[in-house]
Amino acid sequence: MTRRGRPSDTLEAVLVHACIILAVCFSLYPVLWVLSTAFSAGTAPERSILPLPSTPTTAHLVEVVGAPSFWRQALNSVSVALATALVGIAIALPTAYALSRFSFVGRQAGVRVLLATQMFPMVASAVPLYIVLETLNLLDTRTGLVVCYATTSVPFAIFQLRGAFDTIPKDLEEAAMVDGATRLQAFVRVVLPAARPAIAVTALFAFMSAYNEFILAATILGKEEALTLPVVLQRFVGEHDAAWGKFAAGSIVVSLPVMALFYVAQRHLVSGLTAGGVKG
Amino acid sequence: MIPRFAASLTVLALALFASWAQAEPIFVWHAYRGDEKRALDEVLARFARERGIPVEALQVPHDAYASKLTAAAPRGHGPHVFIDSHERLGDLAQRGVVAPLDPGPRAAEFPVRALQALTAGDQLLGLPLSLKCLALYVNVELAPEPPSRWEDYAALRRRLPSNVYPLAYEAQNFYFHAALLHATGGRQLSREGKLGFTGPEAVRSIELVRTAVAERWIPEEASGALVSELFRAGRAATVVSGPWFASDLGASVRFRVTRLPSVGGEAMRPYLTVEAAALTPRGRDSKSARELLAYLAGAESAEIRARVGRQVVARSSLPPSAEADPFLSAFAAQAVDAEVMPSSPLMRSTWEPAERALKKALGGSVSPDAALAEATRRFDDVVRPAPPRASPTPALLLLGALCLLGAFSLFRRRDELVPALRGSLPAYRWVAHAVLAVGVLVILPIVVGAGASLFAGRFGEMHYVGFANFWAILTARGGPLLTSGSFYLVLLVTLLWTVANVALHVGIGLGLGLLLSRPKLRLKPLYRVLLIVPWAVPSYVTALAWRGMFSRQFGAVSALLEALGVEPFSWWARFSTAFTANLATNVWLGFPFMMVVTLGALTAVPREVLEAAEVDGATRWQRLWRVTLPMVLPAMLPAVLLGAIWTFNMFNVVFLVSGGEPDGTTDILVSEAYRWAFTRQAQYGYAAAYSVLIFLLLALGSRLMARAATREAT
Amino acid sequence: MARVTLRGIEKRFGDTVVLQGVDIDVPDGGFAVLVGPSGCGKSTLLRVIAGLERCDSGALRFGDRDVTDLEPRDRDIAMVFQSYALYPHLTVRKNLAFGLELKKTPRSEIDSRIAEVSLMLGLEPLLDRLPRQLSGGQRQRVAMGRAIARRPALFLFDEPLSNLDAALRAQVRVDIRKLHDRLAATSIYVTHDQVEAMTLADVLFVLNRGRVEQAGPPLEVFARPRTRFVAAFLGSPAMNFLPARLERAERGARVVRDGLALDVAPTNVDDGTGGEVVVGIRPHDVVPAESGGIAARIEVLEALGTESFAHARVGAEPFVARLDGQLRPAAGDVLRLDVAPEHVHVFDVATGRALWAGE
Repeated sequence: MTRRGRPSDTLEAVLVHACIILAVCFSLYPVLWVLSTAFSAGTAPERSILPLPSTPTTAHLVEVVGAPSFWRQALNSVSVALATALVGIAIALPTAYALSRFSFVGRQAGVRVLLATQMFPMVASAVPLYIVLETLNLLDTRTGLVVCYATTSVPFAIFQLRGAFDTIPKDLEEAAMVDGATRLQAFVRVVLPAARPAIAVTALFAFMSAYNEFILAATILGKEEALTLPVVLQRFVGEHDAAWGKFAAGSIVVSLPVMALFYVAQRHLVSGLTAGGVKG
Repeated sequence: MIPRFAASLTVLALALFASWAQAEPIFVWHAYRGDEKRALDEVLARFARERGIPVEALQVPHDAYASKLTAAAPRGHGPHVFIDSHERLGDLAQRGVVAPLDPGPRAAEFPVRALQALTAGDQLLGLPLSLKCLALYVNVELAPEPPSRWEDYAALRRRLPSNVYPLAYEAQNFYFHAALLHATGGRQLSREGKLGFTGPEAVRSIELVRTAVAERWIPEEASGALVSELFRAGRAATVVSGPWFASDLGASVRFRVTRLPSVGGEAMRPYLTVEAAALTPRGRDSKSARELLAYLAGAESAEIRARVGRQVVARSSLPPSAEADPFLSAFAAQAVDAEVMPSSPLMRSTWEPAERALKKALGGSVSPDAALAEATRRFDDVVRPAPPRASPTPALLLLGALCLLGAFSLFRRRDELVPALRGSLPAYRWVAHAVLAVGVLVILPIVVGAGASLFAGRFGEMHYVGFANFWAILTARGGPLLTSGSFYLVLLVTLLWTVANVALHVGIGLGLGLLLSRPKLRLKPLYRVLLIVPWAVPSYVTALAWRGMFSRQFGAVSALLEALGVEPFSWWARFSTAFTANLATNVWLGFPFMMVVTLGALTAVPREVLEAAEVDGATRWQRLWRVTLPMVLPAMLPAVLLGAIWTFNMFNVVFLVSGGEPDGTTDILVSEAYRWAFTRQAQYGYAAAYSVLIFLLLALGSRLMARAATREAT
Repeated sequence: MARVTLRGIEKRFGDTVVLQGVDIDVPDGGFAVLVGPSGCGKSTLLRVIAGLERCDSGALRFGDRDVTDLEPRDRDIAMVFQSYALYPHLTVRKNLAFGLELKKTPRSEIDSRIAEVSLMLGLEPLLDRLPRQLSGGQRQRVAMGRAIARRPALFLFDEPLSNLDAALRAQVRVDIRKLHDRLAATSIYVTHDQVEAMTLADVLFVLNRGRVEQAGPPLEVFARPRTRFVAAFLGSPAMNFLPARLERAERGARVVRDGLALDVAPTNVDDGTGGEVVVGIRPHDVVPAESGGIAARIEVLEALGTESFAHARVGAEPFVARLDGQLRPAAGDVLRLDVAPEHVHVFDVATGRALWAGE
């Protein structure tokens, strides 16, 4: 497969890079516009191709970050999303393991129902969900939010993790059980560590969906100090007008943690997804 | 040891005392921003200080305001006091959010019109705080003497340089258009409760705008952001907008506010909305909340709200500071000549058909008459009476019979089932908690939501109608089956949407995945990180960024096209371009996922197989088509299936980018369901029926897809 | 250390019967090999012994303990898997320590066991590596070490050599036997490789279709296969089978067919009346002799130096004979061969069972 030094190879490499760079431009362009809006005192009333801020300013950013409850709310966002990822994964892990390893009555039906939950639009289930939360006394609390996010993230997490467990040889936990472990010990000490990349990626997904959600959060949370950042962002859009500069500046701040997580996780992203989502 | 113990006891006692002394705070909800929020906070703080009653305010995003109130207040949760405009209070009162008030002797403090606007039947729903209406902002340099008549804009046009508009406002927004409609003698909601945007008055109002656009008096398709930018940049001499507009302007431009011009001798009458503070059932029972309400509407508060919040306060006698303020007095003067917005719940159903007709007629694709006729049909369709009550007996009997049948078949299979169940017990211990959690918080709401599809009417007063909702949807509510907004046409659009998206997601994702998996590619990690950026940024942010990029006036896409020699056009005027814009956005959002999936699936292709193919004389293309793809695609199938399901229900993008424009044609089934649930008379049962249909379609589709895939595999 | 006793083990997966009434006895300290073709149930049997599968009926005893219903962890066993099943996230040292830590063995004890095992298997330089940094042979040794470190009552091996190359396999085979001799722990070893089976076993169990076809010391099983299946399975090249007629004579029995007439030792036949049988003759048991009872027409001669294999026909039936390296018959030659009567195996045509006296 390796032939060196032919001119057609160089040409090809150039073409490949050109294609990828084009795609990179496509993927970055809108984000750069968000950046530009965030750092502009006003958008220029001229068409422009390059996303350069008109009258650069950091006023929006300073105002958003300087709001009295901002850091409190950022902490809320992160802690709610972290808790969601932890709880969601904790619920999904044993189930995914059972689906991967045991055969039992209702297994097939269970998998079908899980897939089905992904098909029903939130529009119709949101109000009943609110009533359930009210019954469970979980309204107005971040706990309620975490419980909601975590359970809604469970079906997808189960799919992911079941796929990951399917790729882990049974021998491993059997060896552990022969070595004196209970099924649970074998699961915790051998299977879980072996599935680490998939677990990390699944947790990242759960984290992200919780971190970015605002409809439920806006509906459930009732106190300024309890709000999460997407709700705060949404408040920059009013009935008659919107503070786009602040909205954009806020978006960037909101995006940073997720970007950082992606950057850290990107090495695992491929292997983690391969084990899970790809392999049904 | 002992002193420390004593100290902690004291602290404990103090804490207990504090919690006892601290009364329950009064909760106030509002959607104010900027100066208005600052003013409100000051008023509340002063109240709390003076009366010793703690107050906690929550600023709720405007988009979530109504749903949050209706979810919380009727059940005794949520605020004691909330602030909303009068036209929504009628509807909220019907949903049990508002506790009516007794105006008492203080009625004289408020303008009669404001109190009337807040009265439904013989009940007062709230105390008026401020008045909002449109007025004319004038750039004093460009138009020292602004036109007092619409017709005078022709002269102003001639006087101004060609890149400056004499007038700018959101011509496609019906809230703005209503001012013109009132001047021509039309009404948005007729006195008989029909859509009033019809007849010669309506046609004339449309013609006025069309002419103004054609003569370049006003910019076409102006959004709020565009109007504000034009005015700040000195490229609009006058602007029609409300008090909120001033906060955007700062010191960038010298302006004053005056009355809207007259049209053909009749005054342009903008809508007047009365912002009011109302009590919820929770607040009615609290003396402190009632006190707070009175304080909020009172003179002391009015002074702060006028001074800090720049509000046109709704008081019979304005505070002195407001009297002296030309900005506030201009709005107060305009408010006298404004049309109180009808608070009938039917009003809410007029906006969508009226605005769609307006856009369509302004776009020029159809005649005003045709657009208006369509709007009337739509309105009648939305407000048609709910299906009649049906007897639930047949359905219950059927359900009972099915349960019996199921129980019987289980009983017959008990000999195999019981040992199988016993063998499953260890596995159940692993899944029990997930079954419980998902069952209660995911499946139960879905089942209840699906059950709601058999009911009609508003919340709290729903009645059983059998399958009438489904029947109405599937027969396009008696209209033609392929008209815009009918289930079948929307389904077609949804299918096109799903197929196009999935094809592009997979195509681009696969292409990039293949390129990135080349063994000796440089900068690979960097590329990979940059290419997954769209995935990491919240989609509601980027969807709005994309909407901006497609804007005709400043959109980057328009700029790119212009650089390529294409005349900028309106992306939202035609189905094909609006659909393309949605598609571009969603493809951008979704391709990184498929790229990563591809990279994963490619690891399933062993190198030796490719080398074997190379030795066998396969060219590069042949290797790709005959070896790599057949091995990669099956591995990607589950991800593609899940992606297809998500795309089918991708509500965000359609709602935020095209918003269904033009004329609802780019709506997909989910966004249609959303509109029925929240904007069109809140027909929750009808929306639930849509959701059930969506679910059935997806279940069927994924079943077929899975079956086709297994057939392929064997 | 323990004696292993299995009685009437049955196992079904759905409708497929995998084990049907297996009885096995392994003496304390013995090395038992379960051998058979793939699908014969040998791996399932091993997993039943390990407790990874529950048998549907039957009983297992280790020494005096009834372990039928015990979890694997309570059986005091160690197992070496075909895939080695090394814990991928743990270093070699942690892999070795894993079972001991679960048993809450004191740290010092764990360390000394690891030291002992790594000395025994030459693992010291590998202790801090992860499994993925090891070669196949090294992984195999770590898997062995992990089992040994636990000092179990019973070692189980599930085809532990099948992932190694031929040279390494031969060497590790010897190492395993040496280790067994040194540890003297009861071991049960599953393989489909007859060389491993023959060289390692104290007692050999040949499995076929979920049953034990024959059990006994390997040489004994080899010399006196009880069924045609066992006869065919053991030995390379495989035994020749020729349809023939069993004839009774006063002083014994003869088998006769086209190109073959041989005496049969009395121990190899019952006292029945005779009739159609299958005769089994190992390629190594024939000797060229002028008066030999077999007439084999040579088709191909594979000369390996010290020995040659003649692929021939007796009548119309194919026949392989092992010859001395010096002998060079040409294709087409007819070779007369003789076989000692005790090496003439006679099997029932229908049941495939050896027609042993008293059976």
